[in-house]
This record gives sequence, C-alpha cells and structure tokens, in this order.
Amino acid sequence: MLLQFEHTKYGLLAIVSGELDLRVVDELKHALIREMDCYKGKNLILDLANVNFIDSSGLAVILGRYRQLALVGGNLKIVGVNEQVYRILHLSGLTRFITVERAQHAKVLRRKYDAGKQR
Amino acid sequence: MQGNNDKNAKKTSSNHVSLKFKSLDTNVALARLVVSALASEEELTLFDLEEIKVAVSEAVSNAIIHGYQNDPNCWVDLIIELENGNLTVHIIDKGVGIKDIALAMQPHFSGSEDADGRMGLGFSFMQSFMDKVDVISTVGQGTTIILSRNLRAQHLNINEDLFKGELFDELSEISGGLK
Repeated sequence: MLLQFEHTKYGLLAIVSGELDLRVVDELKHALIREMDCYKGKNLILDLANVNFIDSSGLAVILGRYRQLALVGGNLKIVGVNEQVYRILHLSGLTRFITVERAQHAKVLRRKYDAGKQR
Repeated sequence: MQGNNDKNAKKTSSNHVSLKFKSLDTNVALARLVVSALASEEELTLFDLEEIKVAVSEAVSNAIIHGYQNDPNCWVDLIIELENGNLTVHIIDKGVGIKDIALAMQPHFSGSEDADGRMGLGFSFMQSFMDKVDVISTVGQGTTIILSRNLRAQHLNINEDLFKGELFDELSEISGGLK
C-alpha cells in the first residue's frame, strides 16, 4: 500500500494505492489518525482511484474514520473508486452514510482540489 | 500442449489445488489470487471474480484473526476444487474455533475496528457472494469454512436484505447518534 497526503482547503486528501485488506489496515488506520492530528481542518477525502481491492477489514478502517470525524463534526468523502470497489462499498451499506464518487467524477474533483491547493 | 483432440473433448473438467500457508496477513492476498487464478478457467466477469476474491479474503482473514488470534506461526490449509464449473474452496484452521456459529454469521457490524468488528460483515459477504457457505467448527480444535459457487450459472444470491437489515440499523445508529 502507498499513501500520500495533501492538505487542501477542502480537507485532508489521502491518496491511497493498493489493496485494502488485513495486510495494510493497521498501517492505514494509524497513518490516517496521525495525519488528521497534524491537519487543522475536520474533513477527510479518501482518494481510492488506485485501490483495486477492498474487503471488510478495509471497510472497518473507513467506518472507523467516519465515526472519529463525526464526533468532531467533520466529514468524510470517498472519491475515484472503480466499479468493483464501489459495488463492495455499496453492498456494505457504507454508501448510505458516506458520499462516494466513482472514478468518472474523480478528474473533475481532482482539478477542484488542485485549484484549492494553489490558493 | 495436448493434442487437438482435447479441444473437442467432452466438456467435463476437474482441477484440484491444495495449498498450505502460514497464518500471515500477507497470505490473505496470496489465497484470493490463487483462487481467482483457478476460477479464471471459467468465463467470469470482473464482478464475479471480485466477489469470489472478497469471499476468500474474508474466510482467510477470519482464520488468521479469529482462529489463530493473529498468531503468525500457525498453518492455514486452502483446498480448491473446480469440477465442471463448480468451485469449492475449503479454508481450514486448527485454531480456537467458534462457540456460536449462528451468532458469528449474523450480519451485524459493530463498527469497531477490531477483529469482531468486521466478522459479521465478513460472513455477510461470504454468504452473499457464494451460493453456499458451510462452517464446521469445534471449540479448541479449529474451523473449516467451505465456500461453494457454480461458476457456469448466473449468480443470483446477492441478498440485499442482508445489508438492509441489522447491518443497516447498526450503521444508522452509529451515524444517527453522532450527527
């Protein structure tokens, strides 16, 4: 798994690559918590464009961050997911609570984040 | 390479793969890749393959997290059979076992990030993505999960109710209570 962060005016953007299963969930969880502590805002945007697999372990981490942010009035958004990953997120019920943008929207959003970053 | 006659041979096929691996989290990916490679002998969509990979991932994760309580020095057995399009995957651990199988298989999801937090969802995925999920378990002796699916039939087992029921209520509670 690869993880990159960008502080944007829309929130902390976490760009995740790889497969979100048992192997990476502890590392992902702690990295996200650490970076959220450094970041001044309350919103987290997970860019999963380069994530090609997710199972219940990965979902538990996302839901955990959702709960954590909800406690402080923050928001979690997921962008760039491919159709297979979207289906898993949808079937888990997660899309009922968390905004999930599929891959075709990702480029537009990315342009927005980049514009936000330059300010 | 076999002779050309094989092309016209009767459409029965049989393949078995047996694999033994350490109870390491890296092997979750290994297990699902092996199963999906074997399943690819049949014509499957990306969604079909994804479903099979998730189901295997859940079963192997359960063996490591629950069965072996994250002890990396144990062994998981993976037996894969593909007979005329019928896929059967056995995931066998010799760990702690499951006391109440019916309870463990309920589609609950506590939202906690520990092993139990994901387990209910794990079984929900297995049941939804396979035709049949059998769990044989004895406390103190281990657990065998048997996943079966006919790869030549359209998979219609996706049970949306599973995800609209208790799981949905629990998620509602989490978000409703906090918003």
